[in-house]
Amino acid sequence: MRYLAVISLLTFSASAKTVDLKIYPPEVRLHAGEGQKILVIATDEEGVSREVTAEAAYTTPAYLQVEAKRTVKAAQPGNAKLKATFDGISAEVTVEVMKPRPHELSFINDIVPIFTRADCANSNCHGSVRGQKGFKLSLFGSDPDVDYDAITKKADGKRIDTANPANSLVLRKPAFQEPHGGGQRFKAGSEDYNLILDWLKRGAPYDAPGQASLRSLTVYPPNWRMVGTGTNVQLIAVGEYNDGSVRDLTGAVAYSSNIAAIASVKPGGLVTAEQSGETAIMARTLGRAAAVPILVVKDRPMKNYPAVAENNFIDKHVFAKLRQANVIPSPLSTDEEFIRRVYLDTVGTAPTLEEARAFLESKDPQKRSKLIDQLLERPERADLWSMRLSDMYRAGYNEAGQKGGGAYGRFFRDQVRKDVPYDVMVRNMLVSQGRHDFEGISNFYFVSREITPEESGVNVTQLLLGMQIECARCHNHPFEKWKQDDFYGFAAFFARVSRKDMYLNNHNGTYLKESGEVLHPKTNKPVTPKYLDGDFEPEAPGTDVREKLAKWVTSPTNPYFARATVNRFWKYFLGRGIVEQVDDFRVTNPPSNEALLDALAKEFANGSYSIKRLERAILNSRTYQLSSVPNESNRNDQVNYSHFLVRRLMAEQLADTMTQVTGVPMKFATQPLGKRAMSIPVLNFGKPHYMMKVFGRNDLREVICERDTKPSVAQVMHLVSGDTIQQQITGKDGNLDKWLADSSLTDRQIVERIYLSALTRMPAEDEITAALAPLKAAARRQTFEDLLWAVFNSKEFLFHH
Amino acid sequence: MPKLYLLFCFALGLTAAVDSDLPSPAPSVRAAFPPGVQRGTSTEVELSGANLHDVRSVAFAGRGVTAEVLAAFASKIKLRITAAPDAEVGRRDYRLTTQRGVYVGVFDIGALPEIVEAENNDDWRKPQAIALPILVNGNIGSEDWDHFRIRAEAGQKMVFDVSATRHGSRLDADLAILDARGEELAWVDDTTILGDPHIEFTFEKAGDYVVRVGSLNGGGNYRLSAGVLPYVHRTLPAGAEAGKTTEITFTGTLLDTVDEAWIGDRLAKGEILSKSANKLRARFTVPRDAPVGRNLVHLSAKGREVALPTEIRISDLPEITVTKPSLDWRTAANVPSTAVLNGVIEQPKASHYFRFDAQPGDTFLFRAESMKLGYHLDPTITVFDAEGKKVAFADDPGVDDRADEYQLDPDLSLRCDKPGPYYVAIRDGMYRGGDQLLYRLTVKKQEPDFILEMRDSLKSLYAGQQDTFQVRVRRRAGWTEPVEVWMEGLPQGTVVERQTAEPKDSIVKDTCGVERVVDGTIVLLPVRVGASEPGVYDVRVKARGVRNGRTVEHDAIVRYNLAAAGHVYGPMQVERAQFTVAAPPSVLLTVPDTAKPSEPLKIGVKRYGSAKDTALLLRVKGASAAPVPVPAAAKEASVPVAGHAGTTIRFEAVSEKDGRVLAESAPVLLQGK
Repeated sequence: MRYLAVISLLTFSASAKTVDLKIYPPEVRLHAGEGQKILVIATDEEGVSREVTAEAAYTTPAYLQVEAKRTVKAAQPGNAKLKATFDGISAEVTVEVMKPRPHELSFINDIVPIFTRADCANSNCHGSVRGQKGFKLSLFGSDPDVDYDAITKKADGKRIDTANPANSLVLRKPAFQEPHGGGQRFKAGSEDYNLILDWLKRGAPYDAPGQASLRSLTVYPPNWRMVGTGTNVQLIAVGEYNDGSVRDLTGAVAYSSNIAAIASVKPGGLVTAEQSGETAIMARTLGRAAAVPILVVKDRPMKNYPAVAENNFIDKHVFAKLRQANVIPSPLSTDEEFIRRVYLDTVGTAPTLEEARAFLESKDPQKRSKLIDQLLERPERADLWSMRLSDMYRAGYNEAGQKGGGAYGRFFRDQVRKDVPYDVMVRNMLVSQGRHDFEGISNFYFVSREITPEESGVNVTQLLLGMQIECARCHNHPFEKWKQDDFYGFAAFFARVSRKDMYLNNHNGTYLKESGEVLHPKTNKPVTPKYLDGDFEPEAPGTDVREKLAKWVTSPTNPYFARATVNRFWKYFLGRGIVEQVDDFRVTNPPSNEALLDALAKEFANGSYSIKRLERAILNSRTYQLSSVPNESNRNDQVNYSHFLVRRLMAEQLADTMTQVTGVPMKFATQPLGKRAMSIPVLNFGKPHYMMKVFGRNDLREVICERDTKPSVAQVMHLVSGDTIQQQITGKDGNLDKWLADSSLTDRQIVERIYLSALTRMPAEDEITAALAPLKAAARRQTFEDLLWAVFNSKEFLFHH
Repeated sequence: MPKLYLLFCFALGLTAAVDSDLPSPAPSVRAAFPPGVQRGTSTEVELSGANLHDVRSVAFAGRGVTAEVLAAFASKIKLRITAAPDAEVGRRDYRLTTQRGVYVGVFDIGALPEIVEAENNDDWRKPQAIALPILVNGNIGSEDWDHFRIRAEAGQKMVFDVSATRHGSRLDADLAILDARGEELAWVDDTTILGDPHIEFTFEKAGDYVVRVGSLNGGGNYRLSAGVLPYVHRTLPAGAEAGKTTEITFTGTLLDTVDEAWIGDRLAKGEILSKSANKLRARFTVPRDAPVGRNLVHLSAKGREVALPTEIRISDLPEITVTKPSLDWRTAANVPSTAVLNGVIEQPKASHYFRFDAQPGDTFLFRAESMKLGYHLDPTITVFDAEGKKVAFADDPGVDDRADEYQLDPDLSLRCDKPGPYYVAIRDGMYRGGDQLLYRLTVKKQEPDFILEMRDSLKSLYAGQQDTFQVRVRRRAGWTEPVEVWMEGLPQGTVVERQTAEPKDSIVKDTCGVERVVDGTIVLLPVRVGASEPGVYDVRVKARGVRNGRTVEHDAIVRYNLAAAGHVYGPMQVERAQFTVAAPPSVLLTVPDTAKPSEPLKIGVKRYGSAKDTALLLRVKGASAAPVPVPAAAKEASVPVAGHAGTTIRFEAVSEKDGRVLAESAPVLLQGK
């Protein structure tokens, strides 16, 4: 208790006055005779919040009580106001007391959650794919039908004994009255034990038809910054059912922490800050899940937090979050850092000698934004975007072949060149048909030899909505709300999409069959197309239901599309998605900066879904232009963009920049000499270029189409002594030969050229000295070849920084 | 239903009557280079392949092209091909006849000055300079690109057109225009339905540019036409009725330069009515006796033209140009019960509807053509009844064995069971729209019928051999009766068994092992060659069926052999089936086409039949060399030859035992020192 008091003093400065008070839930709904836990949050003038539920004073009508200063209870129906007062500040919420809810013990709503809460139904135990010791429950109670069969029918019904309920294995095992590999999950006589016993005494019935089912689960507070390790916050959970009823599920759900080392959570929802960092607390029951993002900061806000200039709305949200986390952003990048970075991110190569010189010598205060404008108009930008989009949409996948993949890549390049709004492009892709080698867009669905509605549904949700619903193909999704009905309903939009053989050279096309349907695996009956989280959309005769789907996907009101898209695009420039992985948006994987994600999505939608406009905003932000060199406060930050995240160059960036530096063209299979790697849509077809392969050009077989950015021994060996680097540094008629033959150039100037073209900076004196030292003993060309080798093998060259 | 697998015909194979490992005696040509010649000129052309040394003649279809054999070796022959100044531009069949078989290939006649690429042009920085207009004959090998430097003026528009598949080459070419820094200004892979690339480019700035020809997919020869040349993308209508005058609108580029228009080989001259850069209208009167079938259109400017990848039909049916199509069945315009409707599906998702009247029992045949003509529409045909209810639908024709024409043009037969209006709709199978989605929809009231096609029309067999001829019977307009198939014109001693095609479509396995239903019945006619006189015989395959007491008999359409003509499909220009009987050899000598006079020459020796264990002597004819004994077990001999360069020699295999001459080799040319 003394400890808690110390913590309290730490986190809520005695000198800081309370300036705001909030009550959760923001609207309290409960049934007469039942209770609903509440939270009261006080925020001081320094922006630090803490829970003061137990310390607040409450004003309520007579029929309403706040029991133990935490749970609102009412004896009779009615509407009232609940007022909480703390430190002279008051807050008020409405309380709707509904008529008493007839309490019928429900297998689904009362019994199933126990097994989730008691960790019986998790993926390490009976909720695993194969179950445990022959007892298989659905994961996190996602399928009560399965659970009922498992408990009452499987294994010849031996798990229950309705004649002698207390003798049932389903009680004796978790209560550890029988040997149990999982140990004791609850005690005999506990509330959970008694609920199950009660249900068994009633004959272990399944719920009658019409039993209310959980529609949504909400956990409060919606997010939380914990100031000081050891501090706590109590979460509360509210369930809404499809009959309109509500329940306080605070004690009924299972809680877990994404990173318990940062914030741990106890059964019942008490969260403890362990160390600085960010995590999320998940609450799960009956196949529903909710998450509360938790930010733990060690100290109260800095008094002397420096003023950081904001270039645009991006900075506003990034820097606000950094301030919350007590993290100071790195300073602005140098001109050298900036020009190299922005070139690599827009046109795919470092700047040329001339481009670098012109920029570095310019005194124009607007030169960064002017350069960005120029780069956004360069044709190479379309090549880079084509490569990104080809990766994302798997344009080079072998099914499409080199011709189909190439046509697809050129489609993307053309769209980017014309700055076709991304929503328009996606709509067209969703309704695409055509011959794969002629109409590149028609490759959208051709990611497997036979196009199936199920696979199309998975691709569309993953690529366009950032979600993975594939689990629901076989069973209801364990972490999300998606059921098998949702999966097959969505797949039914693509029931008529098929592949046709175009004969020549194994060409194919995508087309709409005259008829087609998706059968639900459980009922074996045709499924009507249904939007995720939405209504059914039967296909009218003579129409293409995909057109309606395309409108839904790209609608500004679609909660997924713009957010998923900007998250992907943001990652191209900042190195990490606001939601990571970019195709794994789910409640239990919240964004690192919700406000930023929303703002980017809003900007994208308001800006007519122009990739160029979004790109311009990102590149002009101070956030993008921050130095990659961390400071003391942001050294450990990898998620809040307080400094530029260093990452290895992509294979194509490496190849094209090397080629640009040396002037020695690189040869890729099936491509003419000198073609830039970035401009080849299907680079690895047939005979992959070794450098491309080891540096992560993916084979695009998986929907997870992000580059492998991991370092490897093969990369190191290739750079040290591989063919590519040898050809590049020893190749004839390149820049080195030209420089060596130019009598007006000194050796020092050649060193400068190598540094400036490869690293976009001039060499330091000691670097020049070191570079020229071998000239005393070695041949001139050899000396500069060695210098090129050393530069190409330097981290400064190999990394984007 | 019996399942006929493609390989079945090969599985029947040869019998014990002659050695099973006897190689085919038939000539074959793998490549011709250059693959074409400018009209009004003569050029030397080299054909490479096999069994070519005993060539007797090379004859071209049509008028104005002749060939003279300059030299012939086993795997190579040299011809001088001459095209008359008025020879028709475009693809031309040639028929190469040897003593042991016949081969039909395709060749191209051009109208532009021609050169052959100089193969040191792989690097874009070292292109071959060419003066326009020009036609470059080139060859693409593995990892090979050909670069040509051209000069363009600011604002100048030019046409760059690669012909490869359209003249039988297996090259899947791509084409690019590069600026002086090597940056691609334009790149295209497939433009025509068969994949030949075509670029029309307007140069913003005056200067030197580079044209690059390459391939993503294997090699072969090509003909690159380049310059300020007229080019037609679309011909509407794509058919003209014989004996009638038809106004045709051509859509394309640089058409304002056109001063002459023709259909076919001077079949009908066009009267130019109007022209602009992108459109030309001309009137053609096709003679009443003009043969029904495929033709090319020729639009030239001062005699210069590019061979087009699209075709026009001369027909015996009324041709209707659909200028204002009905996009809804309720507003469909009436069409005659027999007519050809020519239109373009320009709008995506659009269907063109037509209304026709029918009586109970009427049978209609609907035939869509687009890809066959060189256009990109993938047609579907749907027929609706008076209430707009779908009664029939056809998309792609039955799949084929890839020896068939590259096309997805369907036929649909419908027997009407009630009177009243019906509606037929045509659309793209992939709901596309565009100016290249041209169709010809034939609506024809027709009695049930069948089509007979011959696939391997140039077979060579040794006396004593057995094999099969593959024939296809396709049923139309509801033909449901068996069809009897036979062959005529065979030499005495050769027997081909009659077969009956049951009215069931055959099933083949595709290259993935998947069973697919083909359009029609594959009929294999077993052939047994007895003591027939060696020689080349003209043969005919015929078929007869009886339906409701009516006898229907047809000759087979003679189609190209896929292996012979690359990507050229359909009926040969001269539909002549020829069967060759060759005398089975007792010894085969395999020699190279050329050899050095001073070096020993390796000769392959293979014995058959009674000569199997015979010791031989190899004698040289045309040069001095001592006979070389070849022991009975030896399969190869090394013969030292002394002769002058330029001398042609041959070898004789003589039985060591009795001195009989058992074989003579193909000629060998002594070259160098």
